[in-house]
Amino acid sequence: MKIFQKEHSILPGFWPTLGLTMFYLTLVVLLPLSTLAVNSATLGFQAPDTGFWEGIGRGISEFGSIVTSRRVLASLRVTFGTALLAAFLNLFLGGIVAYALVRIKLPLKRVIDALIDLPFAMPTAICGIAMATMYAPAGPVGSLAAKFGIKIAFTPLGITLAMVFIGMPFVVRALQPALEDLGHELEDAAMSLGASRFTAWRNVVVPALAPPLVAGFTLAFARGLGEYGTVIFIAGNMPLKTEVTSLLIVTQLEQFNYPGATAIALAMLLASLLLIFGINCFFNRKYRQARG
Amino acid sequence: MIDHVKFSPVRFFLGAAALFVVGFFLLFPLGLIMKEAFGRGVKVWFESVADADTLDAVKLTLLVTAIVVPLNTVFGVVMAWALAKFRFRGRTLLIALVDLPFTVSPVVAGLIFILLLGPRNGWFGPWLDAHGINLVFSTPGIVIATLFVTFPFVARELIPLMSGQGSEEEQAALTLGASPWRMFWHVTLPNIKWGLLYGVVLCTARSIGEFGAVSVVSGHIRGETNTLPLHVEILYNEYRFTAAFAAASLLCLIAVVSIALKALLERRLNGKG
Amino acid sequence: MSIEIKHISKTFGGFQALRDVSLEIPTGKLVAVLGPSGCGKTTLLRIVAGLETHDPVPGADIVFDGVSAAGSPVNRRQVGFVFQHYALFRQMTVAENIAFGLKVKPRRERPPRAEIRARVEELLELVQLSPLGGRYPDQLSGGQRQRVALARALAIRPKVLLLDEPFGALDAQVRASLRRWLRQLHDTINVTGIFVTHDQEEALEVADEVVVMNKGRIEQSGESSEVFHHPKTEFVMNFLGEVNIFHGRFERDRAVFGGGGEGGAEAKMLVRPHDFAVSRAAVPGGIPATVVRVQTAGSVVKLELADRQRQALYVHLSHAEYDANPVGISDRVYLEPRSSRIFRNGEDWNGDYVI
Repeated sequence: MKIFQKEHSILPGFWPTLGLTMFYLTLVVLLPLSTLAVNSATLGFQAPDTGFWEGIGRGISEFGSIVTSRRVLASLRVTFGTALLAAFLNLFLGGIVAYALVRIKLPLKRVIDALIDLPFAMPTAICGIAMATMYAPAGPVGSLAAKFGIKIAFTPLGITLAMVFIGMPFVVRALQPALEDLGHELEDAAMSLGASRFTAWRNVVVPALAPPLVAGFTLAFARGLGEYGTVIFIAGNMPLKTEVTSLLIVTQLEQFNYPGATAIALAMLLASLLLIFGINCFFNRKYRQARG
Repeated sequence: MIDHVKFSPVRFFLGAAALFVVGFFLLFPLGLIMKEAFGRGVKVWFESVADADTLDAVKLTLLVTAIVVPLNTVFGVVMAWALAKFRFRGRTLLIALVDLPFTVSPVVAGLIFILLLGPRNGWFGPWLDAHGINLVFSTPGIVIATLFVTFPFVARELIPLMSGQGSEEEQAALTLGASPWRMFWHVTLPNIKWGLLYGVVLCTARSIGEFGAVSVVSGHIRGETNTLPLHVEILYNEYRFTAAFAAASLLCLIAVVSIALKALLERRLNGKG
Repeated sequence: MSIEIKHISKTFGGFQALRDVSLEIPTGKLVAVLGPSGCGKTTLLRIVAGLETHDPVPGADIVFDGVSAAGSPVNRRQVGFVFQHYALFRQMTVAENIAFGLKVKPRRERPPRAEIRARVEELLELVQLSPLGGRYPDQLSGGQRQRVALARALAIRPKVLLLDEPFGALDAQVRASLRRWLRQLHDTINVTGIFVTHDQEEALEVADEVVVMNKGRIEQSGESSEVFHHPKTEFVMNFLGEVNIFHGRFERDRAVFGGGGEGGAEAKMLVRPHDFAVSRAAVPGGIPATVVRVQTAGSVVKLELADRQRQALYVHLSHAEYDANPVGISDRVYLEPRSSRIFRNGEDWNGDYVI
């Protein structure tokens, strides 16, 4: 097994544990994921006796037509749009919470700190019904908003708020250790050089926090993209309007439209991978220059 | 780390804002569930929870968890040993693979297993069907899907921990004459116990609460195989709100216990390690 | 138990850490393996312990008391190994650490609990840590941890004691006192031992025999004073103690320093700082130099001088010598090497020379 050539080590059990690891990973990760790829590839081979290149070509066009259908595009728009907005909101809200937890003397701090993990620990379906109840027209927040003419439930706004709930732990947990590490030094150094506290913040602290901010943003964004349980209760799930992609996939499955479901899933996977990769690249380059 | 500065309006406002955010976005939904669950009194709550279907759902959830967590724990430790204590080409790739289920949407995860094991179009489907084995739309399918989704928790926790601890203590144990098993049992395990527990808590919480993947794999067809989260969805969609919230409150309780445990263990991890 | 190291080589990837190293260590001797970082000394030690495997070259072997250790895994070799960073079991108390080797013996060989406890007490006393048995490693100082590591290694009554830069991570004072203590310990216990260090003072002071290694090979081995006073190679002389290096050329049969002798092979003369006589008058074979700095604070007087080529020279004089002829900054003096060694291509060379 040349590829797994290990360096010297007399610790026991390498080959057995590696073997088991490969076995488990293949079974639980590789095999399942490859079905997605392969099944998408076989999109074009539905009809019997399809030639190889013919099938590939047909597969790609099938894929294209599925993915660019109105309903799918709409769902992608809704999903990406709300997830992005929610992630940005979380940067702001999560930032405040992280800063307060690290720097301000809050009452019951330990309890609040533990609570941050709540959306992470709660089953998504429970999050979902909580969101729905909270923001429903008859619910506590929904009725209040209705007085101002704002409709939350069954609109993209509701979806966004649900995603904010689910994504908050990611941003806060990403920022906390960074803020703790940062200490006062950078702020103080900037201010001693004459900057106001705000300027010090903007030009010194925020760039230093950029990597964890990006990390938290990306995690929250990715989570929002794939979210199902939290969203379906409050969204209303109207096709073309408030249908998220994950729900669309489930709907296709219920109708036994496996090729359709696979194509959409693959499209979403690719799109999110690209986006996340792009975000990381962009910020890495920008801030690697700054770090020097 | 706390700024011991004089009272400043900006800081007060920030603190208040943070409290509001936490209160509104996190505490309020939790409180709402509890209110809806116990709103009609404890007796009604109890009746809802003791309902036969709900109890069945609880039992199934516990069964799935009882299978998934030990498996993922054992394999998590095995994998962490191979990936953390040794350096070899391909290691980074394998570690990335371990993280993969984390990045996949639960619905996609469920879809994958239908593609793999579904009786109609699944790769192994026809074979399984021919042998009368029904993996999706049934309990085994739920177990497998939950296994996929919760599998990284233990390994992800242990790999950096074991990596950081190095292998010198293990080498020392060997020079002192310990057999590999004794070395593992007396030296390695005690060193990772808090990280292991932490990973197990996370894994358990997630496997109890998993919804999306399980929903897809169980066919979304109402039937016998419902875990508690699925059951809540059914009740809710049938407008049986009190019952739904009663079941939900159970899950909330578990969530609260797990974040409490998590916070406690975190302190141990960072303190003693 | 005697140790025989036969033709050991070790390659890591593309890098050859050990090249055909052979060495014999008689029973009861404490040997220091000395060398700069990367010379292979730690690798050699770990191979003896079984923590690394040597290259499977025919004839390569580690032999304990006439019995080959090949095929004997590390946990069967009965070597006591002391790691540079102690590697104490952090979750166990000091007493539990020391008892570990005895507790994990297979049931047949395991001594009864009372006996283990007694042995732990005995060892705690030996390393002078008796009151600390219940403490945890992170509550101890570096020096204390190292002593626990030693006690732990000794608990299993090893046939061989191997120490990997045992005092490397400690500060100077602690190092000095532990050095003396290790010497005394060895005199008491007399177990065959190898210890690895890059500190030549330590090696010369503690060990019976010194083995100097460089780039995977043994440069010289022998008794401490032998190696110090009669270095066979330039590397050994340079590594053990300070030297002044003079460059010259070989001309026919002589080595010529201080100019002249064109076209010959390069010659180097190495003189130890305390092997110079300082005189104000010109002497045959004396090297002219100007005094740059004088340091009288210390056990010896240290002079820094510059020769004609502006090379820095260091001379140590006893206070008596200095007081007889006190020199000051900017004084012109002549340095006469009373004892020196000349090396050609790194190897010792005996013959005439001219300055």
